[in-house]
Amino acid sequence: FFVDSFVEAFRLFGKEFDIHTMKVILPVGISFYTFQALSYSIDVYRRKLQPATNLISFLAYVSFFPQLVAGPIERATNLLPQFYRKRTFDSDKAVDGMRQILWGLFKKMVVADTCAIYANQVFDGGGYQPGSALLLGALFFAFQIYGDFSGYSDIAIGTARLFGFSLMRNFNYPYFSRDIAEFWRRWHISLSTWFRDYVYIPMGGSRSNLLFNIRNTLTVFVVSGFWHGANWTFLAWGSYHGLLFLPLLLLKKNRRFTDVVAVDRFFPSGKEIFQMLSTFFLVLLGWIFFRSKNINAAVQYLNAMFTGSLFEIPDLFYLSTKCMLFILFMLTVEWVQRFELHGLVLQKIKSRIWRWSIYLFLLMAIFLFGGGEETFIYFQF
Amino acid sequence: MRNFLLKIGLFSALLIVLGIIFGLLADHGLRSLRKGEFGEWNRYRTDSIHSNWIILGNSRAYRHFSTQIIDSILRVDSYNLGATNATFPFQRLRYNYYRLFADKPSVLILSVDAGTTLHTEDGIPDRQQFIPILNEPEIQKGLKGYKNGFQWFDYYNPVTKYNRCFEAMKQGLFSFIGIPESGVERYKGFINENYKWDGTFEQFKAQYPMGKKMPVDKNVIEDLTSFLRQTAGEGIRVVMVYSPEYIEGQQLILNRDSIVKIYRDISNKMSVPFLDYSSHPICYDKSYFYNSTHLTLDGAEQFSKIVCSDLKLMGNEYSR
Repeated sequence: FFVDSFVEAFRLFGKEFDIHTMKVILPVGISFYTFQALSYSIDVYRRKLQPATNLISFLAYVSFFPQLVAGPIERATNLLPQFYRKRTFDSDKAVDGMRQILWGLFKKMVVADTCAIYANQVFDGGGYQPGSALLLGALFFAFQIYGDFSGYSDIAIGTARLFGFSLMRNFNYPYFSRDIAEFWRRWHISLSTWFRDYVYIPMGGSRSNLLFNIRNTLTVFVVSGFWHGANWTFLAWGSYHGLLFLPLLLLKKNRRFTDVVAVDRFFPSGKEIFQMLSTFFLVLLGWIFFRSKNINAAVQYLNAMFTGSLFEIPDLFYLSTKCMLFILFMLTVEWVQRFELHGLVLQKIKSRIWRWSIYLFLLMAIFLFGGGEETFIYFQF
Repeated sequence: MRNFLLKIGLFSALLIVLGIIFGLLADHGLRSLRKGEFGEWNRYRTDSIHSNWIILGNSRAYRHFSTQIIDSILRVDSYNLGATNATFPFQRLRYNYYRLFADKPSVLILSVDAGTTLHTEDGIPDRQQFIPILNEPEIQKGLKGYKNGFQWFDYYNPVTKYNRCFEAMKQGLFSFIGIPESGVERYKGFINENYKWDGTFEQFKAQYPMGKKMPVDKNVIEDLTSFLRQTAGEGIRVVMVYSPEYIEGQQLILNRDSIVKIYRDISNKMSVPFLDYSSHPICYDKSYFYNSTHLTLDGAEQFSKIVCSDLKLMGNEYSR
């Protein structure tokens, strides 16, 4: 990436370089377990953690299979001690773990994989597409990446629970966020807290002067973008979120929404709906950069989206009704369960017949609609 | 732990039993359908079709060759085996399955084109259509090796083959409980419904403004040649027909001429007549098409009359 960017920059001035770079094949999940290993090293250095004396436990911590390839990025202070403790089988935790796995499989195989079909059609389709189809394409990608990533996290966390391990929560219903600051407290929590604790705070955090505060915030968001891949689109995505977050931080409004939305009622208020929709829309615009091949493509996508054709009803709308039903179903379940750790916390349902009916329904949906050739998006990171 | 495993075991057993029940019911329902592709496969098995004229090809076959008109003009008993999206290997599979239940025809009209006939797909087109007939060895042989193909355990159990096949499960269960089936019923394999210009040509043109080269697989050419050799050995008279395509669409297929030449070469090599309607006046009249490769009902009826009169001119063996 750096070499290509260097060559490209000089090409603008008419100077050509013929540089050959080595194509390195990276192991899957390297971004995740590298950060996990760094967490151990830094926490030992800071004396928050005793160095591991048992090599097997340490290696098990670094390579713990449920979360090795796509997180959550665990902290040594949380996970490593669990390898030293004796664990006994807990039936209730195991059952809840299996429910979480089931919900994760539904989000990944039914919602994400179906959304992927339509998102790919729009982003990779070529030819003329009305603005409304482009907006739908971005919407489907937003739910593809959410279903994919949060689904995988649920599977990882649920699997760990079967073995008696508690992993940190990675997603907390981020699309119900009322502003960008809340979004970043709910999306990929393990990564954002990692950057907060190991980059932002050591740089001075928000305790420095205004200029350094801005520098620290933007650095974290830019580096977050860069963590996803060596491409200008990820940097643009990270910077975009940084620019959205900065005003809230500077006006000290970044901690306005720390509770659950509509905490004391079932339906959100009109204001909350507006806040959630506008936050989602801002996030959606960022996903266009994340998904596009390059900055040019992203800009062209946005230009083509915001035209008069944004108000046409595209053919894609009729073709994708099944997908929209899946999204609606997922959002409804997660809205009802927004106070719970995951979408399938069913302790309140006492009847086994009802619980088993829910499992059968989800399993049938996964069997009949799920699967396909899609791999987890975050396996490439 | 024991209770937990017991619950998992009980639930899994319930899942398997329900899966088998639903699978069997859906199978039964699918095998009684009369419309759509399911209906066509079922007809070959149940309707004792012994037509002496067969039309084989992809969707252009079942949209262009009216069995009603062919029967009345040529005074034969024809049946149209055209299959949606079918490349030649799948057309041959269709024919082979039909022949399990029917006698050999005396004449076979092979509808060819530049779009789908001569290439292979990585995956099975519309794979759900094969679900109720997976137990047939001929079908198993024909579906081997495809990327999205069925596995050996799908052939004889009623559950796993429905994986990712909601439409098939739905249609099967609806049929079983008696909900009337939707879809088009064909007349002896021909779809006699009319369609308006659907705009897909404009989308294709927007996506490929400089045109597109259609893939041609040498193995499929060999397969076609061996099929013609086989039918010649059985005494079946084959006529290859390239039915009309809208002229603007023809111009966007960059290697169309070379594909037509392939058919001409095969025709010469195998002594099989080849009727090419690429330059026929029909191709220049958009009102006869509902997209660049498919005729409307009016267009199909016109074309069927034209091809019948051309076949009559070829001799008595092509009419009664």
